[in-house]
Amino acid sequence: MTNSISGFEDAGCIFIIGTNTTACHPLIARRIYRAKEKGAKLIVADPRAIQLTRFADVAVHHRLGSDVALLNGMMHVIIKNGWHDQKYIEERTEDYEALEKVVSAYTPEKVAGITGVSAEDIEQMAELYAKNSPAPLLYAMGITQHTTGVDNVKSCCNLAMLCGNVGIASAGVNPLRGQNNVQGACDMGGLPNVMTGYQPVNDIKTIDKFSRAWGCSLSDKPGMTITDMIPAMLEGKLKGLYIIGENPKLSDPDWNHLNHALKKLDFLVIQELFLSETAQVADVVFSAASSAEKDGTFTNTERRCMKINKAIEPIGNTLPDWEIISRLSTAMGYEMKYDHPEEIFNEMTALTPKSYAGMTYERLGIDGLQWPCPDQNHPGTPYLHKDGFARGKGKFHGIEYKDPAELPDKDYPFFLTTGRMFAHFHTGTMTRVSAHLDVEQTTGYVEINPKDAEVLDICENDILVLSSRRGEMEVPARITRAVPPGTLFLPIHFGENPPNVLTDSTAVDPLAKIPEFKVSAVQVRKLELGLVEKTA
Amino acid sequence: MQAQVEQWLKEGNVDIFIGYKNVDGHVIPHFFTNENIDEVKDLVVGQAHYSLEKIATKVAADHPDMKIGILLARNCNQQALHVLYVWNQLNSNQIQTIEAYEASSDPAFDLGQSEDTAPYKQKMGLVKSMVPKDVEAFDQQQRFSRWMYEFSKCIKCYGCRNICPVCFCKECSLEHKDLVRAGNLPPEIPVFHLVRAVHMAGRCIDCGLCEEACPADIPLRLLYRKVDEIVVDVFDYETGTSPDQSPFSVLGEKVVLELTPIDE
Repeated sequence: MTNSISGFEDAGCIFIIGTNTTACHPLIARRIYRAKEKGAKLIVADPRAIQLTRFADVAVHHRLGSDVALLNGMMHVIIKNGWHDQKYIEERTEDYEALEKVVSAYTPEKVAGITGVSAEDIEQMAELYAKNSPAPLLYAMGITQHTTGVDNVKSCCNLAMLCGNVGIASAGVNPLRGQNNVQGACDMGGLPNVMTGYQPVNDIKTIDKFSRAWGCSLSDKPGMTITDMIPAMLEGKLKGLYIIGENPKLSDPDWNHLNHALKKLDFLVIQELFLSETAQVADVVFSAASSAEKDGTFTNTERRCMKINKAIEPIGNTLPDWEIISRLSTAMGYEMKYDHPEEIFNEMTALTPKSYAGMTYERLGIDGLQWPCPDQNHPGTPYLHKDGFARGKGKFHGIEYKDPAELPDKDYPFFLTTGRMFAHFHTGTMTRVSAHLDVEQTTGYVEINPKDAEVLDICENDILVLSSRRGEMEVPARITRAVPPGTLFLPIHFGENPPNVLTDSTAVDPLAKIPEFKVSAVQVRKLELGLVEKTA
Repeated sequence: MQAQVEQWLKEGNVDIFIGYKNVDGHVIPHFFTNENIDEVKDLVVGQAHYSLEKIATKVAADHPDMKIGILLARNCNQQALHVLYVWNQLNSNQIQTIEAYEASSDPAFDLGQSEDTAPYKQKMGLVKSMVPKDVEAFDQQQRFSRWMYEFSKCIKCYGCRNICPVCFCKECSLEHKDLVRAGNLPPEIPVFHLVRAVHMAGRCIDCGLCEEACPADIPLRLLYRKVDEIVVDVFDYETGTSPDQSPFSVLGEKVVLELTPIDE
């Protein structure tokens, strides 16, 4: 996030696109409610009717995967009416002409044809966003999990810069991160191409620095993304896999394909709290301690690094992740010896000059610090790009709309999108073991519009068979107007009804390699219970 | 306060004392015992708002003979205890208390003060500073739509129930699928909030912890105050101070509330 969570309360207009905020980031939704009650305008763009839709000044349900067209349409209206921030564009950005040229073709009428959103709604969205500064834009996986994920994000940035909404309080471009510490994991170099603080692996100075600090010679070659690893396993190029805190059997696309690849591995190690679907097929499982059982830090979606303190000793024979990794490394011949995670934190801050260098456990205190925090006297940074962008000038990109990899056709006539529901977290490893959360939702379901249900003669809880070009799965029906006719929604939490049987592992963003979980084409039919009925 | 607690623990007047301790800068509930008597010097009053008496009910359920000391750091702790005695969730013979009020332990502290100037809230909903009489000034349609606006913000976190000192049922009606449909946001409204409101009758002592806990700024105190008013009017029962059993814990012989049509 460029900005801070609490700042949303003081926004003039909040633009929500591709985030079901009350279900997935409820305490950020609290800020949205408060902003709205204090007088902010609210725009909600989501293919489904979500809880926040009820509170929106304008709510639209754009067709799956049509985000670039929708955003270009808004920018077209803004430029045409002169609502853009000319001074900001001149002083702080470059390549505006490239944007103007592309969006000039995206008339509201043309965009209405692509998105299914009326021209009037597009004009109203544009006016509300442009005229009610500061206007934060919030998004989540609804923007990123597309073959055009990077294009979608760039389009969000285009819109924000066009109206001078980057580099001021209570505005910005704000991807809501999906886990408490996914920002922290990325900051720590948990990506194939960077060390801590996004220092590039292929930069010789960076690699020299880390090699010297760790007394060994490090490779300057970027690693593989998850999406690249699966074909590498199939080709026999990747023989062993060590997975920490992830359940790809449920979270990666194309279940059949992935299982086939996992079977090709010589050795699979999983480090997990519970015996997840993936852990069940591992050769070795390291049982990890939970957040209540360890000391350390988390860095959340607003770049806030916070200390966590052990509430109880680890239960059973579990160990904190850092200790498992240290022991494994030592056993493999590179000694890692630390008495406390604070030592690791200090080693990291010394190697991460721009963002974490000014942080110490003592300074983190109760409220933590937001990076960049480059020195010991720096108070942390509530919002980014205040006096200038990290790269100098903010760069506009002219981006053309592209169709998703797969659109409904004669054989697979329904759109399928996947996502979350409020009671469970990701693949459910931590939440489905809770009796109270199990009461809320015990098993998977597919949302289907009443019109489609009527045509297919489907009643609530009937078992439906969904099939795509990848595979077939069964799931009970939930009839709801939250989805438009022709579109189905599957939550991702339930291993017994795995949506990733249907999704495509080859439909990925060319740059970020993120799979297009938000758009697939499927066929749906009612499960024939003939045999069961006869025997019953 | 510390000296008294230390003496109680040493002399065996109490087996356990439930108070607050500052842990890593957070004031949180803590069990003080004779085994760790040194910790008593860390006992604090603080600004923390937890229902220590509810924690006591969990201890008492597992250890019916245990003598429990409780810190009363808010004005309403005593009333909450009273309700728990009346409902047989705690035995007054097993409880010892120490009163140590913080100056600003008024439950209405902060939160939602800006509501009174929040235009959309004013137009659509109900603000926390209102009393039941203010709501009744609206016509019935307005009243309904304003409550529904507030309820529709609910994210079903159960914070209101979990923090409530007098929510002690083993099986919670809010989790009963035949009463409240599960699996959706907002929860089924207004049923979710009305089921809880009904269950507050004869129990709610207006401590305000639920409203503080609510991330959606729903004026829950206002709702339960209305319930309390009905209990006073109809049963002449003052929840939290009346010494008798709650009128809702005895089976009645006749309906004393007049039934009114819903479209009145």
